[in-house]
Amino acid sequence: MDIAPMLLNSIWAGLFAAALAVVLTAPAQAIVPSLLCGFAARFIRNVLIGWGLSSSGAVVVAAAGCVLLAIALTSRRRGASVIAIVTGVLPLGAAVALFNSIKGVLNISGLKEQALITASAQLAANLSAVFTTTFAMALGIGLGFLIARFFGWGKVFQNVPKA
Amino acid sequence: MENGGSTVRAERAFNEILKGSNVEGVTTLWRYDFVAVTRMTDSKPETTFRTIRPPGANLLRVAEASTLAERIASGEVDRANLAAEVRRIRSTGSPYQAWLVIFAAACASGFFSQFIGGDWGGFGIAFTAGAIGQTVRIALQPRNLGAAVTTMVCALLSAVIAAFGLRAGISQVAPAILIGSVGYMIPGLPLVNGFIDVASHRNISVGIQRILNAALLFLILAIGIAVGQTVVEMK
Repeated sequence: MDIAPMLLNSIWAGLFAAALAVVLTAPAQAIVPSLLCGFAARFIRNVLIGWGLSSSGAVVVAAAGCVLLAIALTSRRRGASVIAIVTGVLPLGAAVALFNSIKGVLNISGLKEQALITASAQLAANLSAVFTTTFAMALGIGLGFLIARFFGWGKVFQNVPKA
Repeated sequence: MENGGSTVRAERAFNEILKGSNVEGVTTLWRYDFVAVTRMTDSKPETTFRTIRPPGANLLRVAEASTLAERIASGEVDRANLAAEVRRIRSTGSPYQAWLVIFAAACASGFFSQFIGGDWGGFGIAFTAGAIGQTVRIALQPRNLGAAVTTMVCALLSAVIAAFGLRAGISQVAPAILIGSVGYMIPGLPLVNGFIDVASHRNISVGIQRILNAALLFLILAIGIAVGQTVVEMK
């Protein structure tokens, strides 16, 4: 497992998260937590996939890790917490699969016979990747909140939903 | 909620204000576009409705509102000053100047294209597409066209700029560049707020509406990307 490309990829994700925090008019204190959450979430995902875990499983763990890191980094600054989660988990999305799904939907109507069968299978696989990854993100966020409540961190984190 | 906060957060802030004001017997019903508050006065229920405008993003206001609610709950704010504090928060603008937001959007687009497999040529294309798209977005926001129309116009513009960059041969990684060019408009805030609301069990309908709103914006971005792809493939 080559760690350098994973690190570089995660740094881009962290920088994306920090830039998006500025676009979303987050308070200045939220920028660094966003950067760290984006970096950590993508890095955890990349490492777990490198170790052989499924993509969806890695996204669940990475999203949960992102929530917990956001809580840890912003426990004294409640306002910064949600934005760190929002921007931190976005790099986990299945953007390329989504793009390929759109492309597939646009192309499929003009195909026939074997090409149509192959394209249908590819489209189904891409749509499945988009759905499972998005669901994994939601599950990971929920898992992060659950862990936070279990350890009583909800007292310092205003957005932990009550069960 | 109008500024990008979750319903859970709005509800807690409201409850803290009630606690700080020693008001009891209040029931609230939170929905996507209104909040209903019922209070018992002389054993008679009195209900007030307040509309919630379509959600935007000013997270500084969300943070300020939460801080104010905490201060009220702990008795730090005099009730006489409450209206002035609310007015101050409502008038709070973006903490960043327009040029910085445009630069950040351009960077977000460029960085997004990088971590999904783009190259340096693609970074330049996505950066330029993001900068121009965000400039138009800022220009359109005061016209109150609605999030969907604004997103559609900016997505088409950014994706077509990216497509022309790809046709010019600056980069060959079409998926990463086209997706990256609209990356600054990804509706992460309504999506994650929707997840939080659904997870709360108390605000499931609001959460589902937020997720559907995010899905609509994703679809609009997808249409922009599809148009960009068509421009790339044109002979």
